[in-house]
Amino acid sequence: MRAVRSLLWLAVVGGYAVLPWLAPSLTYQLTIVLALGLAALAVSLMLQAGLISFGHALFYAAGAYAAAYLGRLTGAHVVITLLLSSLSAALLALIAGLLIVRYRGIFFAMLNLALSMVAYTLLLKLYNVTGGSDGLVVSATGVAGYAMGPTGLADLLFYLALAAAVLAAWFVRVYLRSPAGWALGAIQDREIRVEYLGVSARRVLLVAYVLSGGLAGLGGAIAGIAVGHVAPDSAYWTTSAGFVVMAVLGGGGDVFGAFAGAALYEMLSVFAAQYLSSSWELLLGVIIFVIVRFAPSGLWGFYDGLWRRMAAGER
Amino acid sequence: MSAPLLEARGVDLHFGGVQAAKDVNLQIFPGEFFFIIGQNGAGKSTFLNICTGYLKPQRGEILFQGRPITGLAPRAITRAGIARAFQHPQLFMQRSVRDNLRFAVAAHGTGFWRPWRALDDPHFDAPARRLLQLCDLERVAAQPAAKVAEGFRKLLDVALALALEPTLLLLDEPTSGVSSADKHGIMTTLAQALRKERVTAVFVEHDMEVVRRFADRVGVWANGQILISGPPEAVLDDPHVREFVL
Ligand SMILES: Nc1ncnc2c1ncn2[C@@H]1O[C@H](COP(=O)(O)OP(=O)(O)OP(=O)(O)O)[C@@H](O)[C@H]1O
Ligand SMILES: [Mg+2]
Repeated sequence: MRAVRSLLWLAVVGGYAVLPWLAPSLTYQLTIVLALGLAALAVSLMLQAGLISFGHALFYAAGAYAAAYLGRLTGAHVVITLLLSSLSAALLALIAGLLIVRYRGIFFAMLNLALSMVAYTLLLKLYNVTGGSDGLVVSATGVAGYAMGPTGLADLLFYLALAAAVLAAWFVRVYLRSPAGWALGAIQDREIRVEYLGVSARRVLLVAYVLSGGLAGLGGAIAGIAVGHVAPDSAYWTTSAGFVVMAVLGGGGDVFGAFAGAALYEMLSVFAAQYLSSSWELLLGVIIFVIVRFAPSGLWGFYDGLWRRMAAGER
Repeated sequence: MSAPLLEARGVDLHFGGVQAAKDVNLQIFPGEFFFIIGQNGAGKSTFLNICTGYLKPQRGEILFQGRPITGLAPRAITRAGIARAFQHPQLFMQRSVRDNLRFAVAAHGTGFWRPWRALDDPHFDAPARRLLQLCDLERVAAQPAAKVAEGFRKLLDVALALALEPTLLLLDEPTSGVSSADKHGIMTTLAQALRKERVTAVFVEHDMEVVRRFADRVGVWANGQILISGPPEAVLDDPHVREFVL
């Protein structure tokens, strides 16, 4: 059963990898799904500790803006740009986290929101640095000095994003099974016991928060390069709320959930843009209602439940 | 007699008008089982909470192995070698009894921050198995803490503390909420485990049968003060104690 599930994983990743060949016009959208999935994964990581962030767009935007700057500095080397952008967002998360991990529940949610809105305002107002509401161009034209055409770059970015997503998902999975990752759920359940076991709950949360910031930043950098442009909207609270919705749609039970949630969200938004010009929120509202009402543990919970029933049937 | 392991000197704490600790002076010696008795609200839990850093006394000092620990954070005190079990077990309820213990082992030992070492790694599992056996929890190891009987939760709460290999363990009513039929079984298991691990222990206990059977020394608390302390026979048969406290 386990082997079957692992094979299915390979099939899903492999299937996703060949999609751009089958439908080249979808490459951009498929890349964006991976970028959003990384941000949703970042949010669902904090959800493991019962903490909802309504401000992760801060790190997403940080990654994208960092990519815009690094694109110029590093001669537009995509891989280095992605790595450094993610690290910049993680560094920002470390600084913000020192304050934020002191808070729980609604205060955690609101403080994240507040910081992201401060960042949004700065991005708008510091015109000389950030380009104000026009934003910045994110240029990345090749690898190690070789210039690539736009299609070549789009393909390259897609496969880099896929590799990054697989690596990130694998790492988060491993981390969540280690004591420091397991501790997240333990903190949600009984923080006092965690402290009385001699473990600093704040340190556990800070490590998770930095990892989370890095993941969201990586997503932001990928999206920034894919779009070729970044604007302050990327830090706006509706972007953060989108990540939360994706994490909830996906179910957060496992790393797969975040990407499934992001894929569903992006499909809905593309669909809505084409056929329901002004009713995107309506559609989203209905979908959220259906998930919360009928599958409260999200897409992952639904999928996992199927496997459990099959495993039970086998016995 | 050897030097005291834990010493309270003139400890005072009040909550508004309520004096929960009043000039508490006490010495706990290595290897002994000290039992705190007294009526509800006498300040028994408060004293343990002061010793573990959960509450800060307004006056006085707590010394552990001769060093002051007054006002240190619970985490620092835990690291120094004082562990505790709670009046209401503080467990990770959705997780299995075994995982609760593996986590406590990981918290204490090395490898907590290594992401590549999973919680079910033998490095954490082997000590956890030993604790399951020591505290008679093997039968329920695979069940979530939320699903097991209160008696097992009480044992698990102590087992989590023992995973830290403490020098001193403070147990707040380890048999409360358990039927009187099960009380003696639990206390016997605990006493054996503590002796085997060479842990000094301070218990809060309401059941005088239990106190008589397991205590080396007893202290009687009333209104935040220690009325009298000494060997169980002397204290429990004191007419004053019989009249006012029991
Ligand atoms: N956090 C607090 N705030 C205000 N008053 C408190 C607080 N904790 C305890 N008290 C009061 O201090 C006194 C001592 O409480 P404590 O919990 O130490 O009693 P106890 O001896 O453990 O009683 P029990 O046998 O019921 O557990 C009580 O009057 C209680 O109401
Ligand atoms: Mg009490």
